[in-house]
Amino acid sequence: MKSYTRGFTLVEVIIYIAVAAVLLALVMTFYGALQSARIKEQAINEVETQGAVAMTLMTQTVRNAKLITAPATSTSASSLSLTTYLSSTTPTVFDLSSSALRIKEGVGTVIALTNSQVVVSNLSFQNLSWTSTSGSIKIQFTIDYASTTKQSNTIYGKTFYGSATIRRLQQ
Amino acid sequence: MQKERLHIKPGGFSIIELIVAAGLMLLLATAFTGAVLYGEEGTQIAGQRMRATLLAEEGIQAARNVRDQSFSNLVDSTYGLAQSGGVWFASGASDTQDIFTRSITVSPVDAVTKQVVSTVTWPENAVRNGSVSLTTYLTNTQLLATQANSLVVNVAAANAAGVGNVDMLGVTLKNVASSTVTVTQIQASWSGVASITQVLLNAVTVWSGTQSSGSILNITDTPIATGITIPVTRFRFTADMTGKVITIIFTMLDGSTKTVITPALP
Repeated sequence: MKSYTRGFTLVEVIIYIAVAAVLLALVMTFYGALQSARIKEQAINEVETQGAVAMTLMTQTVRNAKLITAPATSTSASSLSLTTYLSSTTPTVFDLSSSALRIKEGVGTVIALTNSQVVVSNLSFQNLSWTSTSGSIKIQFTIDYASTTKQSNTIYGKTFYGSATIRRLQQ
Repeated sequence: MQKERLHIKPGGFSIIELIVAAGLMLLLATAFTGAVLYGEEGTQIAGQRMRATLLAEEGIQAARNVRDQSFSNLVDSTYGLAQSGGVWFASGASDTQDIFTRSITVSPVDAVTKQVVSTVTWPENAVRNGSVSLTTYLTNTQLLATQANSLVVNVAAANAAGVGNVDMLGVTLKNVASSTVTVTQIQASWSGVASITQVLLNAVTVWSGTQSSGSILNITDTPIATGITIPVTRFRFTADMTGKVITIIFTMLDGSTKTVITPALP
């Protein structure tokens, strides 16, 4: 019963380290890609969701309004003022401040429609109403992801277009 | 037996085992990466679909505004959306915004209704196109704005009065439109043998003569200004009208008619 402990040869150790390095590199690449995709997805999601919500809210408010106070017919402006059926929400004003879309109803407080995760720019309201109609507004704005780093995977921006025609018929 | 048990085999992996393990890991990694990447594409496509829907809705809203101006503006065809002179306008057969192509089709349903279909298509990826289609029906609302629809006739207080109860009093006419409406004809029907001899609107005699029930009376055109209520001062008959029910049809300047029925005159 002869017993002895066999060690590793230098060659064995080198092979082991090489294999481990390759595997580790694969794992790291995989993890990096996963992280990058996650960040990109978050950027896309923020932009698309906040744009859709803001646009839907604005078009819905226009549709239910009584008349468009500003901009005047055939002009465009960076803010929209609506007269509603309620004195408490007249005027309803949409505008852009510090890269955020905002709404102000009557004498109420200003409420931001977008958060600091995104940057809104090029807000434009175009009054395209035909004469003797109650009014129609084309809304346009650009939303970009507010990335702190300038990594390519956090750069995502889209321009949203939408329009709304007041439901009330001209009397 | 005992000798064999004591014989310790050196451990470790063979190269085959290593390759199998690495292969399995690679498969898993591919699956996960694929899931994440396709998830990202899905989010992007959902966003595109949302923006396409907003553009399609824009087509519907523009058509609605064009209809509001005049129903006759909605000519059956397929259009792109544009602006001209600061208002909505149709141009070509489609229009393009970013990656989206929009076309609006107007087709007839009946004399007073058009179907408007707004379709937006875009390339979702290299092999597939996305498409969003919204449909609405637009009605000729100008038909609703007839003079007769703006005339509110209150017959609740109609009564027979005067000497021998030969006069009908207590009816009022109100114009609820934002423009003047004009009454041009009155047709009154009742049971019995009495004839109508005189009509006074707002204390002015607008018709006199002798006509039987159901005759059309060409009265002096009587305009009613916005928001004003005028009294039907009296309809004079040749007999006692107590207990009679009178059906009155007012014909307006635009040809529209308004029919009212009084209660049995007290």
